[in-house]
Amino acid sequence: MEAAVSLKNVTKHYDQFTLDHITMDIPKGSIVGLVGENGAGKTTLLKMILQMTSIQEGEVLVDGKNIKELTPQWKEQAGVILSGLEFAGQMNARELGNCMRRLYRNWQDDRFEKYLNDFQIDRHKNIKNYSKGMKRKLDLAVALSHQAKLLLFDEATSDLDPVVRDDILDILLEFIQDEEHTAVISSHIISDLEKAADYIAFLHEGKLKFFMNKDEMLCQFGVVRCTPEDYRKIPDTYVQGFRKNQFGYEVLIQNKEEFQRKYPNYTVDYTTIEEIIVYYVKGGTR
Amino acid sequence: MKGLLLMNCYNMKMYLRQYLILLVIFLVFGVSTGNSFYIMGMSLVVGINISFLTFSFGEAGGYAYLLSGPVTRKAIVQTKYLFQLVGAAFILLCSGVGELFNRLVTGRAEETWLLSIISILGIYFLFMGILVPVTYRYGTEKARIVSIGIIAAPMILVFLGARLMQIPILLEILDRLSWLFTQEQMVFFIVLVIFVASVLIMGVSYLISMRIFEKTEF
Repeated sequence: MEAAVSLKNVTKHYDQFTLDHITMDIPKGSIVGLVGENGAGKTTLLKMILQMTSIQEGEVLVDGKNIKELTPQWKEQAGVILSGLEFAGQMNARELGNCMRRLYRNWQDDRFEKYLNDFQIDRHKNIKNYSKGMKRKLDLAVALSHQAKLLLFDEATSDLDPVVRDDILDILLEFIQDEEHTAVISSHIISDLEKAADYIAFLHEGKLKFFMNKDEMLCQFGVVRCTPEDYRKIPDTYVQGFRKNQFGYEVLIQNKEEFQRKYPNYTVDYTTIEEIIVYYVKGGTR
Repeated sequence: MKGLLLMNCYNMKMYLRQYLILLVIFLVFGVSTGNSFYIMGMSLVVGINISFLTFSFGEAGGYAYLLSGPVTRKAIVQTKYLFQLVGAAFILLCSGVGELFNRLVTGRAEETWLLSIISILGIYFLFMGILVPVTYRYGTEKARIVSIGIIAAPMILVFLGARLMQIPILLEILDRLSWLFTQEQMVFFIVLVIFVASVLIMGVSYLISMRIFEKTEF
């Protein structure tokens, strides 16, 4: 499958953190959910794709071309939401649209107006007086109003109520109907990703722990609840993480189907993306 | 770059109204005292403050937002320096308006107006030429501290100049020059040299700012 964005050994060192040799291909026409705990490197990764921060090792390719060889005009095709609209505090939505029209060659005024109406955004109110949710909706209106083919959203829905989040997910799913369109969404709201994402990329402490098809991931992982004696009998190769509680052990099993065939006495429960992440982050390892 | 300039203008519109009121007050004060230097000085202060404001907006997330889109770092820096030229034009306009009102009301022209405006613009370019790269490198808060130093510097220079004027060999040179030039010509020449130097400093400042901003990470 063709990749919209490819990361090859992308690395960035900070004093107390390293984004460590991230390699993944973001398939064109998909929604990739980027998950991980706070400080895992999600925002840094998005900023490196956008060339807002430099890459120390490795390379990023967009549509097969190294971003270092591209002019910043490639970002005409990227709809971005970062927490950066605070600067526009003295402007209102109408004025922001006037500026965006001059910054983006493919700016669509009619589409921007439509989103302002749909999201019920007051055009004449100063952006600094908007609620957090309203600012996010304005971010989204801008991101979707210049014929973007790639959406890079960093916590785009975190300040929104469930109804609006649902509307945005519907917009995303409609966006992806065009196979040339791709979205990368970094979010802590896992339920949104479970609904919309095709792939899940999990970052933990600067490392990419896995990049998997969401449905395959949910098929591959499961949770076994057992006594300590039974826990000790489970081979290391199947244990991805475990947690102890007063009743015994909860074990995150990978290669669930194979495990169930070999050990039919164990009951393997379905799990969720959120649970998988919690086990990776907080669970013990053998 | 039009979009960036427009963005700066929109973000300042509230402050521009306040500054305009202040300028009108100083205009009236200047006309009533027959002195157009008040509005000249105030327009310099306003011009510098407006430049600081554009930096504040950038640091509050503006640069990051713009760089997430199809905007080059070069364009952001170029817009900033273009804005300094707009500031200079603003100072020239305010001073011109002040002098025009002065002539209409008092019926006489300020003889040293041209010299004064060249000095004011020289001070403006010198000030911004130093402050802009400092702001890019260290941020607006630290730049404000540096600006105090820049304001203090001319006073220190005048003090040193007065001390230097007591050195006999310099007095002799000036005495010989007074045979060739009048005092007014010498003052005009010095002011012109300072103005040209300040414009050159702006040029160097632009190159330094470009280098700093190219390496800044967001």
